[in-house]
Amino acid sequence: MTNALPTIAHPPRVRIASPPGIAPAVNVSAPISHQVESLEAEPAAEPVAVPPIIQVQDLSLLYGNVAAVQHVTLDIPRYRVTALIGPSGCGKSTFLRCLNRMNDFIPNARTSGRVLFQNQDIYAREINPIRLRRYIGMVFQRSNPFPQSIYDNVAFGLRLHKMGRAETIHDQVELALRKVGLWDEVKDRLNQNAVTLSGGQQQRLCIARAIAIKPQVLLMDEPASALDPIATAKIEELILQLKEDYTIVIVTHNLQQAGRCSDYTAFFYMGQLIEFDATENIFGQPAAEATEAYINGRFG
Amino acid sequence: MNSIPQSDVSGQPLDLTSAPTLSQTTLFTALFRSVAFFLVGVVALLVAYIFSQGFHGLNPAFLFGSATSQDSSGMFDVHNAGVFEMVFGTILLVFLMTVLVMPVGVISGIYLNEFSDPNAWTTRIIRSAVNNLAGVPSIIFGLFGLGFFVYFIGGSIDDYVLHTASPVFGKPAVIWAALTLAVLTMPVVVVSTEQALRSVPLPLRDAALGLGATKLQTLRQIVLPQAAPGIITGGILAVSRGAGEVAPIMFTGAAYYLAHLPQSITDQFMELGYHIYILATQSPNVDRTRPLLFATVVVLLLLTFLLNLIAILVRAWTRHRMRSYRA
Repeated sequence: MTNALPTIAHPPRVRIASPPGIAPAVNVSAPISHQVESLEAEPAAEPVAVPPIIQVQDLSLLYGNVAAVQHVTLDIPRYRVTALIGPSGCGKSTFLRCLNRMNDFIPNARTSGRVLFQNQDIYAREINPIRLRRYIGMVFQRSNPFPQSIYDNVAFGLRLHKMGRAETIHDQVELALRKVGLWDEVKDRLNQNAVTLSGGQQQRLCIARAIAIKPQVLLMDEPASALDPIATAKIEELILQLKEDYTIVIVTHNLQQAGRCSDYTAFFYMGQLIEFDATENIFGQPAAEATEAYINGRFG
Repeated sequence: MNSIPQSDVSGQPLDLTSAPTLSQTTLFTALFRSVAFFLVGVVALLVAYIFSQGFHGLNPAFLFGSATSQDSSGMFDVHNAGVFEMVFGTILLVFLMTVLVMPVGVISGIYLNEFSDPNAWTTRIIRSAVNNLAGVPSIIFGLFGLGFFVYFIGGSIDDYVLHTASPVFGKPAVIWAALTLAVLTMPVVVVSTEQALRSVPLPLRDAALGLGATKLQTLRQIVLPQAAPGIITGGILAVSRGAGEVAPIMFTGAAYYLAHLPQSITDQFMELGYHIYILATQSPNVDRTRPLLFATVVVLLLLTFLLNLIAILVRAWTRHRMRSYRA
């Protein structure tokens, strides 16, 4: 699907907080310059040739006294698919939720470090997480359509953010459903309840719902783990299409999936980022021993 | 070709059968089942007894006849009285109670489940207050209603707002009886609301929040519609409980005898449950009263059933409109 939504092609128009002078966040251990456009300014990160849209700097997350994410520094390249892999409980899902502050809803969770989205620290005090999530969307492990009509599901975010009147909303709903390849399957039953769709269709509907409001980043938390192989293949195909318009960060337990879909792969282990590199390097010649062991199925 | 193993590891032949004996499982199943069926027997006996005693008293004159018939000496003629005013009074009372209890109970339940910090001392105080309220005997609610609603609130309105010498609000009235019942049934509504909200799947909330909905938007657009059937169930339970209570209303609004229907919320009213109490205890001629008494009981049972039925239909309609989320 090449007909990119007009907004996506434009330079970023994020209005999360008052730009451009970012107030230096408190508790930042390593002071860094605000000129973070190029990666040369960030020697700690792996060399990535694509300009990043999200820059994670020394991010830690604690549940009470237990560290779920420890000192992670990572750049998410724009318009690429970044896979987060690692054994269960390694903190990759928690890390993903840090990127759009869905971890705000976890009681006792505290974060430190910085996450720069379009050069703004999303943990800064003036950031409204509600606005942030409009630009960084999320798709969850289990499809979670609202028990409403298919149409209302996709229109939910559009109405929420008052993105157009009734007639333009219809066009946007159609566009989103077309992008996920669901339009032809559901166009005659848009008023039917979404829970009547099959599992794979429901998950594609959830993706349509997320992209309808034109986010810039799409976070996917094991989006295909509950689906059969055919539905999984469709989701993977979709991910490859979507990266033309969106930056995608995907958590997956399925290493083949990471290999097939992603451009970059980050390997997490026990809350730490062990290795981050282009996917072919991670799978071809991993630098860290733990990565190599995990890739080859010796643990995890 | 695989052969089925015929012996265990030690070479003994496998014996998977056993002689048909009366096992413990069979015994206990029978025992538990008979105890459970005892309940069915109790209900069947109760209903059969009441209907057999009260059935021939049920005639149109009784059901729709006025209770205000008077005998030749101008006294309340219990024996020829109908129950129309009592049915009306009961419906009015339950309606007012529902209108009063639902908003407060539902809002409290929403606060407890959605907004309160479960570990805060304020939350614990609210929760223990709700639990304690559920344990208070209903006669205490009656006395509380008389002292607080009728004399204190009602009396204060008369003294400081209306400045009347003869009491308008400061006497037993249907509004005070309904308020007392509302306090009595509050815990049911609060707890049902909490449970209904808790049962809304977390992924649905995540979906809305992940799209940039605020907590309030998520609550209003996703969570509350999902929880509505459960919340309405709370209302049904409150109606069931409230319609059968006599003790809380005998001091706060129910009348022994009234020559007219209540004209305003400050009027007293006649009520089925209280009327049964009167028929059972105040009659000079027990044998003549008995059929009437049981017929009134039948009417109260049917009315409670009808109120429940309406509430259940409303819930079914809500469920139908909002198909539940299937994981």
